[in-house]
Amino acid sequence: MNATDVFINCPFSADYKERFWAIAYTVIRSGFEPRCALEADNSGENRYGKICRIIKECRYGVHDISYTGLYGEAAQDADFPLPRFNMPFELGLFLGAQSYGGPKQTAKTTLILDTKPYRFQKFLSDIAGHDPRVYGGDATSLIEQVAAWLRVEGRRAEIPGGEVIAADFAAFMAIFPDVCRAAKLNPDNITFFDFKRFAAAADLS
Amino acid sequence: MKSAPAKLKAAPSRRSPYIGVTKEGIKILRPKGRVDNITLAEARKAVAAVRAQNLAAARD
Repeated sequence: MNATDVFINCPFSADYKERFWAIAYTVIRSGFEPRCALEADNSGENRYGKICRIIKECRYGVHDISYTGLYGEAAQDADFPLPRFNMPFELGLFLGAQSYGGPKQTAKTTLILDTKPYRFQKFLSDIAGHDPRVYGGDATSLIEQVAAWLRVEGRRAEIPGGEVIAADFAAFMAIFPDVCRAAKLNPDNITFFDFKRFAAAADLS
Repeated sequence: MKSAPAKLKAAPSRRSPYIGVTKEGIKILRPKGRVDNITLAEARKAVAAVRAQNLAAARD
């Protein structure tokens, strides 16, 4: 298990993309390594195996369970609406690894996020006793929660406050499309791998 | 007769896990995956080029 790796468990849909980049950016800006199922491009590795491997390697886990709802489009999906279970499932895997994964895995630490307080008690009551943090559904409040959690759990007083990181993130996202084009990449189809190296490079410039 | 001393092998240079330090003193990790110094240098060059362009546009 790597003491600097942070597993990101969140939707990868287009309407969540800004928040996903915000989490990844905050993790990098705080001196940690963001990890998620999008990082590997090996068709030979099944998705479940990949997620288990990454979870095993990560000491920290950020889980946004706010998208546990009914999604899809009625016109395109005969089975519409269906719930999205991936986030609670991966949260369960992470907590399971911490409980049953052996002595090293017990050091895991978890941040659970939702956009409404106490809502999880209705759809995920088995995690009662955990204390999910509430954010406003936007990138700035999400960054504030993640930065504060990493500063405390990572014992890193040098991590700046969420407002500072949020301002840096906004400045980075403003130049991000041009940075992609300068590197001969399409900003709409950027990979997690490329986002990480651009964000890391931007923080040092 | 003494045999020639065996040629010393150069110790393999260990790549730093960090690519730099922010102004707050936070060490930025080398992103996992196939990130070598060239791809990182390209990323820094792309960021620097866009920032310089924006700065020049702001001055005009």
